[in-house]
Amino acid sequence: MQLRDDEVLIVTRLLDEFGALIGDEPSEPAVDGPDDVLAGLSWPDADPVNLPSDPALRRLLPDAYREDPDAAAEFRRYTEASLRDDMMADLRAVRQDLLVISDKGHATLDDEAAQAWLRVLNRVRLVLAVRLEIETADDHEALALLASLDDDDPRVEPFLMYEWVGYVLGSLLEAVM
Amino acid sequence: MSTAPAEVERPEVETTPDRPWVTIVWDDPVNLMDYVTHVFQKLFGYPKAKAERLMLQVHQEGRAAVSAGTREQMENDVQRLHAHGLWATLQKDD
Repeated sequence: MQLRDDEVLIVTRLLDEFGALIGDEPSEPAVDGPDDVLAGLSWPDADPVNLPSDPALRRLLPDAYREDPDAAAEFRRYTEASLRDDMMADLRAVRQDLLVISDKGHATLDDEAAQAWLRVLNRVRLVLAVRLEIETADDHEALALLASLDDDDPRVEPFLMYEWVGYVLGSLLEAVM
Repeated sequence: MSTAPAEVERPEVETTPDRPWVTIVWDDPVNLMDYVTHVFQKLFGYPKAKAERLMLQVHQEGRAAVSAGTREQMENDVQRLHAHGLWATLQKDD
């Protein structure tokens, strides 16, 4: 895994914001900073039984039963904490690798490390897609057009990150598949 | 040019009376096709060709059954799929 200094900074920032999304609940809703691409309507949900109120968390922690809300709540009660723990563990692993990369310019990833990178990159990409409201191929096209025309629109930066994360994810997949 | 005789397609995943639950993976516009294929290979040990067929089925038909078993087994599969960012649900096949 090879990243330039500026790319390390981008990944670090995305990971920090992602960590805030899935981390300990603050006592008040997270404040949306001007540079916060992953935040949005993000207020971490303390309720372990219902679907998260944040659409990004909802996408990462969807219902397991389509037509049985009781079963879905039960499943969520038993699995959500562990899923969040897994996400935190992956985040820590990737952050360790980033330290090496920012020092040496690259890091050799064994299979376990590569899988963690794949999961983390994919999760970050999913959250960006939710924030950008990418629901169809047309939505994606519209954003690509916007990005080529309008530098001032606040969606351009997160969209460019979304594309770039997709590129890194694709390259890593090529290396492991 | 002659056409091949029509073939009945066997489903990729089949339930049995003692393994009546299935895990369904749903299409979403964001996940990369290569990523979905990779997850199917990794989580279920499917050969690449089968993983690709299932991925295409999800993509083209909106959903695909990717595994079958007991309810507990399917809950485990769903949890693992969610951990990989895929949208999955379980249901009893009828």
